[in-house]
Amino acid sequence: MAAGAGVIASRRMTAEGRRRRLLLAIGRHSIAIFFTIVFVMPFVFVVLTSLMTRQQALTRDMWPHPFAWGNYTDVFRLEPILRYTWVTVVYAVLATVGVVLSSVPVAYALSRMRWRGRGVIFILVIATMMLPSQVTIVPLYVLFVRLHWIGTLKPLIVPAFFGDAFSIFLLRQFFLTIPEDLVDAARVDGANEWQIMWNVVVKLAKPAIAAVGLFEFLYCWNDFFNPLLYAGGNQNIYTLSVGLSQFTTHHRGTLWNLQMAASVIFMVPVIILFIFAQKAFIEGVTLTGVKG
Amino acid sequence: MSVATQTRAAERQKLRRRRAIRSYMVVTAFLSPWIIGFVWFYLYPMLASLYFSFTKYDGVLQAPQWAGLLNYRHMVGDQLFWKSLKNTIWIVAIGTPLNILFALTLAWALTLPRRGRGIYRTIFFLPTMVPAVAAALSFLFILNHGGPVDTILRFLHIPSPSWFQDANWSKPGLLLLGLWGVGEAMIIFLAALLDVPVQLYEAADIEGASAWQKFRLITLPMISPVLFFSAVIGIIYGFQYFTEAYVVSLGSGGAGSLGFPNGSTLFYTIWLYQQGFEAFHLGYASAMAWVLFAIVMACTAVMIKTSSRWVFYQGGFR
Amino acid sequence: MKRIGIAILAAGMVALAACTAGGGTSSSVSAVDTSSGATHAPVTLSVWSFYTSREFDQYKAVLDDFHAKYPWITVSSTPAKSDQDFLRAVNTGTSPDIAISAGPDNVAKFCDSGAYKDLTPFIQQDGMDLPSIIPDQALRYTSYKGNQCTLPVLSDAYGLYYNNDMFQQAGITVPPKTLTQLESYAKQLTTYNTDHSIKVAGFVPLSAFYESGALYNGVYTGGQWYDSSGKSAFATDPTWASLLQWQKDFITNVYGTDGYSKLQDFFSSLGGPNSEWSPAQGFESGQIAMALDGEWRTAFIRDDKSKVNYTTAPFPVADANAAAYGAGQIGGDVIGIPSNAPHPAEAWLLLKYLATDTGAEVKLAETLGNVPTTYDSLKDPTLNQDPHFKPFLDIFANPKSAFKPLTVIGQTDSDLWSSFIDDWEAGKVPDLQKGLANVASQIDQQFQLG
Repeated sequence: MAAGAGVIASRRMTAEGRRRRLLLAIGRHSIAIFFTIVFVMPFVFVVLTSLMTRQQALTRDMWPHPFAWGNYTDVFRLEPILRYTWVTVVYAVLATVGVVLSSVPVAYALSRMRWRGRGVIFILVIATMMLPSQVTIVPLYVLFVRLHWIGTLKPLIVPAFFGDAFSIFLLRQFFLTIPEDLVDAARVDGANEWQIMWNVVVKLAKPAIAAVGLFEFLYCWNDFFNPLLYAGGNQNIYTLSVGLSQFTTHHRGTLWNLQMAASVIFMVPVIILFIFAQKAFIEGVTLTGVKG
Repeated sequence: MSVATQTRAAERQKLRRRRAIRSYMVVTAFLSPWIIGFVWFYLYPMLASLYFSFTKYDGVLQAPQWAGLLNYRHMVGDQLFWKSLKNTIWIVAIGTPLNILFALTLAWALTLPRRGRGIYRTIFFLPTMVPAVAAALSFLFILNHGGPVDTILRFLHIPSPSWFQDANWSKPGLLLLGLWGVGEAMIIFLAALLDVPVQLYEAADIEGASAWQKFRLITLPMISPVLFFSAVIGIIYGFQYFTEAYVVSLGSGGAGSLGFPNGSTLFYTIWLYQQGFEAFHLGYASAMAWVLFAIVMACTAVMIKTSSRWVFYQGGFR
Repeated sequence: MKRIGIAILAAGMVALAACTAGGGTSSSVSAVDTSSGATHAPVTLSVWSFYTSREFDQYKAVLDDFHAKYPWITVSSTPAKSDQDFLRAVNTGTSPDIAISAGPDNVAKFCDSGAYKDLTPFIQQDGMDLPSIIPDQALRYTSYKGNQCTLPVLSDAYGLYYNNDMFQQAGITVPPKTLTQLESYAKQLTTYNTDHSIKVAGFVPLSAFYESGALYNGVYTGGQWYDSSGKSAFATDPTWASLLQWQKDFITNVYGTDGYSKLQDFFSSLGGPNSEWSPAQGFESGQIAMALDGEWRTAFIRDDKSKVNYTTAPFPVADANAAAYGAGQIGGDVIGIPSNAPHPAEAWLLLKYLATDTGAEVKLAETLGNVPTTYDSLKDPTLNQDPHFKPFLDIFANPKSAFKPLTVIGQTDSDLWSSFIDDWEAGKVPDLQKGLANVASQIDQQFQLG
């Protein structure tokens, strides 16, 4: 790819030098291309198998013949994928809204307001992020049972409205980069903290808020343990993760082609989302250096 | 001092205190979502699970009964507990360094080409986006007997294991699945690698340092804080490894076969889940959770204690 | 600081006590008036079962019959639910009205913990005399210490399936009756591919292989799970050690010293455990000469349109236990009403229908290929005239046939046992006797947690 450009640029060089440049460029790219193949192959296998007939998927063939496009309609008949998707979207959207709304003020207080004890609270926030969720899971489960929330989406969505440590952390880091002058100027103009947060800080922190929203949405989309635990056997609130995890147990045979079609349907939305929001995403990852 | 100034000073002090209280109230208002969330979702559950861990508590609708150290004693003799702990330590001890090494290799490969870096980065990162359940379902097929990897290995006359059907190969299979989704660490490492000042390398070139020496003496120390951070996070999350193993064991072994094959994918949290939310030994599950917490804390503490020996901080904590 | 910590802790305890107090359910029984003049508000019963795919649809047909009989009761049926799902539903107050388990493994646990309702009041109210309706073999595994919290609806019986063509080719005319014969036949029937992998397995004794695990439940060797004091007898009853030693020798003699890994490869080439419920199942695909399997395989062979030419018979027994030939492991679907089921009275109507209605029993037994569990339905001519099926009716009727003992730890003992056998097969148990003592103490320890 880039090798061609390199050659043009080096026209003035000697033949010997040109050959060395070319070899170097090939060497530089060959490693990356090798890894590209490694990373792309699983996708290729999955997509190709999702287009095979049931019989062919059981063979060693790599290329579908004929192309069984019907798999993508069959799989919707086999599993209520539309309902799974709807539930997943409801969970992800509401939880994302909740996390953003509740985390912004907390992050603001932890970064742009001065008060004693700020450091302690910040450490507590970080500590909750490191706490293995298993430590709290049993009492929460008991609590949600007593609230009759098991079998509903409430245990997944309600907690999102009470701040998320990772999002608070990420937003705080970003808020700290906003120049003090802008905040001070607003203070001089007589704006109160609430106004400063919304009109100055949030406006400037849009990329960070986008990243937080994106992370939370993806977290919910991929979340398995919580929906599994709190669904309590109510199939009507199975998310894609929970519903499809039982694909093999539901269809005791080996419907590889449809299983792969279901996987593709499950991964395509996030991949599209990633391609469009790549910049915000990678900036977010780089900003924190923390798993999302 | 006149009385007037005294009162004025008192007034001012009162005003200041009122303002301080007011500002604390504002802070509290801003923090309120987190405070409620902290008490509701962390403080209370932590205390409660600590209490539960000392009780016999079989079933949500029954009352927990004080049982002293029963659950902890049971744990000592519970071989599946030890099996799950061993499996978990295996995946943490091998998986974490392997992931870091692989992510670093990828990040390094990304620094080589001058153009097209963005495209490669996107491709390397894409698998990280794939939901864990979808990735696990996919790898069940890819590593299946008669699946693509098997076919390729056979074509190359390399002995082909049965991966998720074979107790010796199921964990390596999960490692491969993990390596496929190593993108986040890769991006962080890439940023760190590109952050290393070029002057350092130029100076090393002048002194005739080899590529390995440059890596060993410049790159590694410069990116060591990031590596350290990744290792800590890797360990914390590694001990909570659940989803992939759950899906893979049920997918290859059928319903009710957590840990399949032969308990080789029975990880700590899977046994905890089985005991807590399938057998409903809630007290035992709580005890296991606290032991997990202690293990994770201990590992993190050891990492931080020893970090000064191998982590190089350019200027203060990043 | 310390004092604050204690204060918080105390506050937590108080909150906790408030949260965990209460619970429990009453066990009063109300009856549904089924006389012709009675009027009823419509009710929807939710039924959870372990069934999937074809079997699920066939079961549904009988539930539809029930709806036709009691038009105001609609039945909504959910597939692929395990005992763990039932327990979780009871614990979270999301129970169905009826729970159908694949086997009696957890009956004692369900009865003892109060997860399911004791059906005795219903039975008394309807003036039923269970022992005159349901054979004792089936009743035995549906109650625990007088608490009849489930009823049997269809049973399973485990026997030998063998491939006629392969027997003929090898010149074998009668089925094996002892484990020694099983071994020598298996050796004759096993064939290999050119790369030394197994082409046709004579018999696969691995406990995780399809239903072969039933061989290690004691019926065929006369092994006792628990001694008279209720302690695990795996180390004290010598039949267990000799069974496992027989298995190890079997694998070496039939498949060679690397037999274990050959069998592993063979199993994964069939498609692993999942293939059991698909046409790729090894016996159906003609890759296994002899198999230990349940009576339902007859229906799978029929419905998968497998071309396998086969005969069924009782499974061979240990040479020292020759008198037991003809018996086998039995024990099938058990149905209960969760303690917090929304409509227990109507649920009982359905449960009674499934468990005692001759028409329903026969229809289920014929379509699913299971052993019916009432005296009347057991006389069904169709089942009795099916040469493939008849042996299973005989196994079921054999007084020595049984399910393993039921205990309050549910399936935990069999889980630990089969996990031990897995280790043993893989060569991870250097000292058999020590290993057996260990698994026995593991099981005994489980009773602490219950």
